[in-house]
Amino acid sequence: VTYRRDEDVATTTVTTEKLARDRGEEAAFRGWGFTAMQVTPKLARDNRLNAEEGVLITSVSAGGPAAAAQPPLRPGDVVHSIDHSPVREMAGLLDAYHARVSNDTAPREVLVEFDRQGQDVVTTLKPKPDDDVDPPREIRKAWLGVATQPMLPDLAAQLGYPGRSGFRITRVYPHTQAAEAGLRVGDVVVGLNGEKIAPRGLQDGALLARQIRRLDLDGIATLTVLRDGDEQQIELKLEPTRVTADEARRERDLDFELGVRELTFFDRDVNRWDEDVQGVLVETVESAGWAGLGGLRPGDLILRIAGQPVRDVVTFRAALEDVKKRQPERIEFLVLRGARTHLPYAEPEWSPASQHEQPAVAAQQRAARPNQHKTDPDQARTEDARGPGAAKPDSGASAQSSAARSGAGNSGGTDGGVGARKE
Amino acid sequence: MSHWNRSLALNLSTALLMSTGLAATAAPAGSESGNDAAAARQARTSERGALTREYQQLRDTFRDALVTIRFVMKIEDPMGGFAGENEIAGVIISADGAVLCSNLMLGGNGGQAVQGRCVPTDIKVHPRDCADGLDARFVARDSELDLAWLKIQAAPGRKFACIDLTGTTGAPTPQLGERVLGLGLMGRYFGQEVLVTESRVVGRTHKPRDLYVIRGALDTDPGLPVFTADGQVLGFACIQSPDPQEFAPGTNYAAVIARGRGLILPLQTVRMATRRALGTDEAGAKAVAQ
Repeated sequence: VTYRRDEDVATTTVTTEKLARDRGEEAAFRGWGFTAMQVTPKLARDNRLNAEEGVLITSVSAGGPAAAAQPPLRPGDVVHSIDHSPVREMAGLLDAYHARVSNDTAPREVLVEFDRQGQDVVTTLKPKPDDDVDPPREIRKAWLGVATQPMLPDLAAQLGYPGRSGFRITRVYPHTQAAEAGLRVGDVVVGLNGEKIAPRGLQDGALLARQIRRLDLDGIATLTVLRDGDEQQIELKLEPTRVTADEARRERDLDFELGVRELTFFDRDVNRWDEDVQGVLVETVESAGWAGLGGLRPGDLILRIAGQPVRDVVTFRAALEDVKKRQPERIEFLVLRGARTHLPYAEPEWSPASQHEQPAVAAQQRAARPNQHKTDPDQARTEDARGPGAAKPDSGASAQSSAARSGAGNSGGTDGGVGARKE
Repeated sequence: MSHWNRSLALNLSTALLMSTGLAATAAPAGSESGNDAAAARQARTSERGALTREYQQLRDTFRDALVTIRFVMKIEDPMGGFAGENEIAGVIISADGAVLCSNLMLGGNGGQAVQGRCVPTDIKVHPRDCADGLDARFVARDSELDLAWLKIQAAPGRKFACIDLTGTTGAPTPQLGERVLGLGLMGRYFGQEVLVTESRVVGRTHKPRDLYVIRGALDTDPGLPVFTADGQVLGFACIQSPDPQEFAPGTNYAAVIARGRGLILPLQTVRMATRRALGTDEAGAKAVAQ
């Protein structure tokens, strides 16, 4: 290098050296409950690690196998062996992971040796499937099949029942015993099984429903009802409480970044959907995920996926598992949005395999692409040439631009989906 | 005379003796007043002994049925949510490992309409003699009663110490002012030590349902049993919150909830709910089958 300093020209020799990456390769180990990053020289310096090899744990999912291990793994630990086999880089840890999660005969416990602030610690980790089990539903109790509002004295006087109080029926749910018994909107319930029911204020707004819930399931209730100025007795069979949205079964797909729940009686009632309408309701959609980029929205009722009927969360799961096996370029969803059907579609980027893929699929894909998770020397050289921190070809920067492109393509409000890229 | 009545009578007589005894302390030994003072001291000693035995007996009889429940609470909301480990107390209610605890403490919403939801996962029940814990399944819940039922898994043939709720009759009905005893459970960090505290029944409410109201020094956990002074199960501590439609606009929710603590669900209510939850009677089988 020839340079000028204070009018003098001088020449010196500079020896270049390979530019090291700041951040190592990252991966999520769902079955083990942590995410991790390849240790790089910079990472080792910054974190004052003992060695420049191994895999640094970056996060631990609460309650997961890593957190439940004794002692538990923590962010900052550096894994350097699995079941006595050394782990020097991410590829080694990925291989060890996939060998165990895709092999039913593998030992249930995994011996993990790691470095924690200079201490060599060993722990056993018990892998488990991601079992997002829904909590049980409420115990079924007796239900009347109507919605009510408390009728307090002021309102009662306006309605022509001065001095009375009770529960005015605001909705008689279709296909219920209440509808069959002939209860009507506007009827005022003032007694139950011979006992007076009289709310004293809004603080008693649930009194009737509560009294009903104490009765036997499938029992008979006799209501004293005010109708058209007359008092009459109406006998009807009670029925079990219906499942509410809070209790509905749920399913979440991490690849499509889509959360759905089963359709309830009350969803049908609010949307005026008949009993023969079946599907799952979209609750959450990650806007930059495959489903979000494909145009699915919260509130959509998914009726079909790639031609397969979706009746509930079980068939929803089966349909998605099927498309993940087949990996088609485009997946059409038939959804009911309000009163109209729409046909959004997703075009997942199946390759490279995502971190969220199912273990079985991962194993298959890895078998097909044996070097997929290994560091590609050419790629490493390319990244080195671009400098530390440069985005990889499939990095977040690419995802954002993909999302931006997709958003623009979908902004016309058409039903068509757009290409969705999964990083 | 029942044990608690005897205790109450003893308390009253002790109070009387103390008031006279204090005045008599200066009287010479051997005099009539001196004899009264000695009798008072003896009564106090006797009462202390009775209370100690009462506490010890309650603790020793029921402590093996008390368990620590560990679980991961996943909180799902539209903004993403998070997960964290929790630890609560519960009680084994059948020899085959059914466990009762508070639904609210286990992430229930008490029937309130809330955004997102809490899902308890990775549930483990820790009896006193089992540090590792036993996997448990969440079987049923009743939000309005604040009860949740779990079932210990993978302990075939094991008979657990329990507070049996399968009986159908014989529930005590305490009077206003009656002494009650409660068991509390310190967490695993403190070796799951059992606490015995006492208080009195200060009221009874029928809305939203039959409940005994306890105030004072009772230190128990929601979901744990409360006893009469002679060791009968009176009911279970619970938290009660109003139905959503019973909140008037602007209601101080925290104040209402605070009022809903220190309540005891009568034993009969819990028995009936348990039969439904575990499907051990016809109505329960129907409820479970729905």
